[in-house]
Amino acid sequence: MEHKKFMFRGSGIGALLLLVAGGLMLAGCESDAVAPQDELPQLTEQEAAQQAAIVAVGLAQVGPELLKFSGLKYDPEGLGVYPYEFPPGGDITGSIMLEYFDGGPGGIHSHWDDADYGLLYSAAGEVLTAALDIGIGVDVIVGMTFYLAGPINRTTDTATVTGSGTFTIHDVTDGFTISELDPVVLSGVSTYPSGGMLLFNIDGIELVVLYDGDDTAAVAIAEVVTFMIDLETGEVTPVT
Amino acid sequence: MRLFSWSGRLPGWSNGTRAGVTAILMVGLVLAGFTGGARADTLQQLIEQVGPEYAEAYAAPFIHSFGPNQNSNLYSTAAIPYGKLTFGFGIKVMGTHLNEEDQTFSKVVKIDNLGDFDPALEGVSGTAVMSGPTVFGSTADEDIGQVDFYANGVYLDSVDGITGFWETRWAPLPAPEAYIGGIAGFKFTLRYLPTMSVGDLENISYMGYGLQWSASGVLNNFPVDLMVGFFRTSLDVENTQGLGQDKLFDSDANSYFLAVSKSWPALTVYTGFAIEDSKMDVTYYYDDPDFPALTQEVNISVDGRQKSRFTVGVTLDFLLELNVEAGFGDLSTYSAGLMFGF
Repeated sequence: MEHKKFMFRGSGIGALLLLVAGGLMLAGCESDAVAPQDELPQLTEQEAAQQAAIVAVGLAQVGPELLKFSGLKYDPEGLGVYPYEFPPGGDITGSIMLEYFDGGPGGIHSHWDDADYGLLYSAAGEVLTAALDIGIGVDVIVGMTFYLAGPINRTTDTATVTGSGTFTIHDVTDGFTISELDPVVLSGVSTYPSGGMLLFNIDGIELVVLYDGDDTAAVAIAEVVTFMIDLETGEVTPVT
Repeated sequence: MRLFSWSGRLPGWSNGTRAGVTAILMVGLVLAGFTGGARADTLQQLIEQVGPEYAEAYAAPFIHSFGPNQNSNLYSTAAIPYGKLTFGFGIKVMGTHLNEEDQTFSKVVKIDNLGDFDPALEGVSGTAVMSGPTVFGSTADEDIGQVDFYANGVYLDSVDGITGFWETRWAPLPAPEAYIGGIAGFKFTLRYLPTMSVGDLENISYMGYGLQWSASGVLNNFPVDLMVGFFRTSLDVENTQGLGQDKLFDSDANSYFLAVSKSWPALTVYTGFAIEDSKMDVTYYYDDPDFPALTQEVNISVDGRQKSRFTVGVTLDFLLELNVEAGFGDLSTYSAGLMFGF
């Protein structure tokens, strides 16, 4: 049989060699990946609302410090600029900066009790931490930064602020804004903002949190109120 | 403040699962010949730190390359004599070249009730996001895997996973082989290891057999040799738990192939196409003293990804028979054989 094979050196051999050559060219082919490479699942609307709810509770607890602050009056060189550390034991830990002005946003620094305009913001590198139960039985931890600015009315003890902020859940950071059209009205005597909106775009879902002065806030998606937030716990419940 | 208190195990994770997945890896790696007892113990320690879902994803490159390796280098020529008895023995070494992505994994698992792990979370559903190096990924401590838990879209906590075991893109498997043939174009091939014990794993048995038939004696005027054949491989580990199934680990691989070759003195080039499959089953019974609700018989069954392959190879026959080949399917497998033949 070996002798017989040597008689054929035509197309059969050529084809085989071409086949082998083609196969060897394939040697550079990559194996398909076989280990799972799951993407993080997209958040549901309720999950996105839950994230927004934590921020809404956080802002409701942090924002009023712009009005409640009554710390030491600093010397003239530090006039109107105050650090504030949240006391231990609360839902919020960390520190913020408060700045006060007399004469509006273009005015001069003033003591907190003389001011008609104020800033509340997170200093560079400072992140507030909110630990909230959100109705599941254990606390979740969220990092937040804020930049809020607006006029202060000491007569009504309110501040009407706009601005923005970030929130970090594990290693993902998102943001929120407060537009000039719907500023948040903070109160020095009530825990809950009496009005205003927080605007979110979380994982592609656009949400609006609406404060109305009581212990709940509404979450609207596509202009439809879809969830309610308990501003004490951060728990979110669907609107039926 | 009360934070999520993870119990230290993933859903469905159990000592039995650890044993099963450890068995898969230990047996395979021992067969692969690159792990001694100490290294196997290290691997077991790694695996025992994580849950079944994590372990299955972690071991996926090994699981899915095991079958293609078993089904590699099943022939080195399509020419089988019709009236000349031949036999031989030797060693085959196979290696699947893994995709670079297979050095890491990411797996998302839905958890129906986090209350199984922390009573405070009874009725709350959640998500576990597992990621990190696979068994063939980075062994550096800074690259250790991680499991992140989420509830209601909000992060709860993280626990460490494990590092890779051996950083490589090659998943190897050696197999001793013998053959006898040369009558009417038939050739019988056997891959076999005597029953052995490795660590706590008892009665590990490995055997493969196959039959090939060459049409060379029928197609006298055909310019090349043609051959068809099949091969079946089985790797079993006995279940010593005394409960449930009698096998802790059972891996089967089958290949049905058609090959063509052309021979010159001392040189043969060959190519072929194969339909193949492989499957791994791990079965065990788990009794969880801490979480009785998790007590259960656990079965893990994984079908190998690769269903077909195209093979090209070259055989040098000068005193000894040395062949090298490449097989391309879903995975690319390269192999070599060294046979002493008469």
